[in-house]
Amino acid sequence: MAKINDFIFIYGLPDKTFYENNKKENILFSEMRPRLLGARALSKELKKRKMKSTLICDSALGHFFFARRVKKVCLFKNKEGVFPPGALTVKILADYHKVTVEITNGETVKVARVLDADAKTFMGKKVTLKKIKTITPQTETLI
Amino acid sequence: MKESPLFNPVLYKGGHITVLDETALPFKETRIKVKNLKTALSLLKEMKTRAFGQVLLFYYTLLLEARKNKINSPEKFSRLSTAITDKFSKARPTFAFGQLNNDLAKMLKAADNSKFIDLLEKSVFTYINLVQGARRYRVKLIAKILPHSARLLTHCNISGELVLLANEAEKMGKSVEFFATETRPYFQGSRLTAWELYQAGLNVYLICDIQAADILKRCRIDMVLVGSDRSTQNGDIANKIGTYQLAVLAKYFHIPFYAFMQPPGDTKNISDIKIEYRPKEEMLKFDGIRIAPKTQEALYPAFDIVPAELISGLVFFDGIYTPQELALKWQK
Repeated sequence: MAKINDFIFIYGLPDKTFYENNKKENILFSEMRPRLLGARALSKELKKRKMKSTLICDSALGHFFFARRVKKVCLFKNKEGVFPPGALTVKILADYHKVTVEITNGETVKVARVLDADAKTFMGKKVTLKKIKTITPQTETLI
Repeated sequence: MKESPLFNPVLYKGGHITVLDETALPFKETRIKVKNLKTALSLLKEMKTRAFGQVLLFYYTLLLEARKNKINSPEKFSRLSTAITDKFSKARPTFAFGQLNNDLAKMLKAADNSKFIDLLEKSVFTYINLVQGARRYRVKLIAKILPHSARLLTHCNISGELVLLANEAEKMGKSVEFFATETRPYFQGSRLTAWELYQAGLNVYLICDIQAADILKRCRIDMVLVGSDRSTQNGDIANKIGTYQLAVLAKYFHIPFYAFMQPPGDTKNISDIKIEYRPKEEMLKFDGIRIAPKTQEALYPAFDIVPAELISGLVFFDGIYTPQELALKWQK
């Protein structure tokens, strides 16, 4: 039988309270391009706390909403109250699928080195031609 | 404007197949020789070619193997092609190779008597030329409905059709600017779409997949335009992962969502489509570098379903249809 409503999706870096209150939950999280804060930083935090988690590409988020796998979204601003890039996509998808979104202040991510500022690189390596134009992710506001 | 190399990425000449290695793009344009079914399947699994390239690879592999095995009758060919279709389908389960096999079988039935291999080759090339002609035609249909200075958001890669579209739009006195999502984890957008549009001298902006909502909000986007790997008789499509969320966002921002479609054949509804899940290592590793701890669990669905209600228009080989119009057309 297909699984449904088995994940809490988190986007952004949670604060300690989230981890304490959700130790037994099945966490779904995405890479969080361009800086890969999800894959590089959040995955380590979840692993440190021995929490069950599944990583997906940002592009796969809609898929899991469509499959009704997401029961709740926890969206975290950083300490300065700023949403990470992609927060608007997350909010719209959650609203469309009538999934509750909890918005809280979380942590500001510290990664060893910022490798990627936009879509032209991945883990510091080129993925496309240097001359191709890109749009650096801006601070997003939710509608 | 030159045609994109991705419009015809797999070639058959003098009994040999060569495949444009899409995993090496955009930094190297290299071709791989295919001499047998085993190599063809290996290239397919590794996504050295995909989308229209896998259609060409399928047909040319049938030709190659038919010649190798000295197939001399439709009955023997039917057994061979069924076995090859099976193997291709196992390698890429979302794509409708069975439909391609059926289409070829219809052509072979209708053809006159001659040496079977020559007949097969003629049928394959006739079919491919028909499809290529139809692809060249359908981009004109979209170009006609674009505004004078159009901005399109696209996802994944549509095997050269966007370059053709821009070409046709230019003939109509229109200009087209593109926003391409990178399309993780395979980066079709970064490596293929942005590359082919740039090489063709077109204006393209590359964005991360997750930026789409912000771009639709801030920039004046006229249309979201994607390809599709499958379609259903109901007017749903299956396309690269990430397409569904774009369709939801397009609906939210009241922007039309159009998709180039494949003939649905026997695919009635979305339950007939199997979604391929690929190995998690393909998303957890890039160029030998791991992006998350080795023990991190991950899931990589390779395709999305986009239900008909999110689609404004389906661009078929003979016209643009709403999903409802398509459903009626298929019922006839």
